[in-house]
Amino acid sequence: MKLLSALDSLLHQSYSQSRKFPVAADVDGGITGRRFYESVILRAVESPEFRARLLKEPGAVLSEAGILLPEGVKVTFVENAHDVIHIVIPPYVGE
Amino acid sequence: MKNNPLRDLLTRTATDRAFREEFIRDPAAVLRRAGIQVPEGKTIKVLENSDEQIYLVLPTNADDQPANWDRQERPAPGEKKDAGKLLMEWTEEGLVLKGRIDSETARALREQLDRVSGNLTLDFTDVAYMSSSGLSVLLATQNRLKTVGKELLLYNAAPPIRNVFALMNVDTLFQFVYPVDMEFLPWAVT
Repeated sequence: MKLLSALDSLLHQSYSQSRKFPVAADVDGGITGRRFYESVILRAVESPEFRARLLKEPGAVLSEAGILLPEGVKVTFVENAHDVIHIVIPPYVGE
Repeated sequence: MKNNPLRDLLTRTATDRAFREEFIRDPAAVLRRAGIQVPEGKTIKVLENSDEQIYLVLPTNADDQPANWDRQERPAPGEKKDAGKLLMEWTEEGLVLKGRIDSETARALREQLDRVSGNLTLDFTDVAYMSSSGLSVLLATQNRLKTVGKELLLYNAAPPIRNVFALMNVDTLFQFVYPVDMEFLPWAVT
């Protein structure tokens, strides 16, 4: 299995989790909600200017998009380059 | 995806301390051991999420990834693509395939399939041959569409083609449909 397409598919799956639920019940304004996916991720794919802003000032862009983050949580967006791929691992939760 | 080595690997880093450290130290080696192909010449940077810091990787429009992977872009009927041994034509109903889907033409097929994010009918009437390369492309597309509740419909696939799916045990992952008057032929029934 190819890493890039696997990452792609995982990203897509985690961002579209909320699609399992009807839109009316989608009250999640957090970073896995449909709103996030459409207003932030898709927009970053389509608009270079938005993407640049998102990388530089994620906090401001997210709150403009109505995304609520818990206290003290920082979100950083990263881009893969032609020679660098990023893999994000979950926090260690131990045994 | 039922069997997802990457997802399993990521989950394991959350509970297996030694594995996590090894992955941070040499991600490429760990990935290869898990059967995941790592592209040549790329460095892998591991980022750790925590309660205070969340990292999100933005999708890129690299050549080997679908560009607008959630846009409902159905190419206009009449558009044709000639990939030599495989001809593809977009119609009102879907995408008509004629010829051979093999290692040479599979990539061209992938390019066309990547343009769609809704249900899509693929007309296999004039497909004479399909190899595992073609099967990989169809599986990748099916996986992608299923995550948004859509899928491919494979129309009028002849027995030899259908057998390629069956031999690889993936025929149950797809919907095979046949013209109404052929539904009663033995091989058209599961």
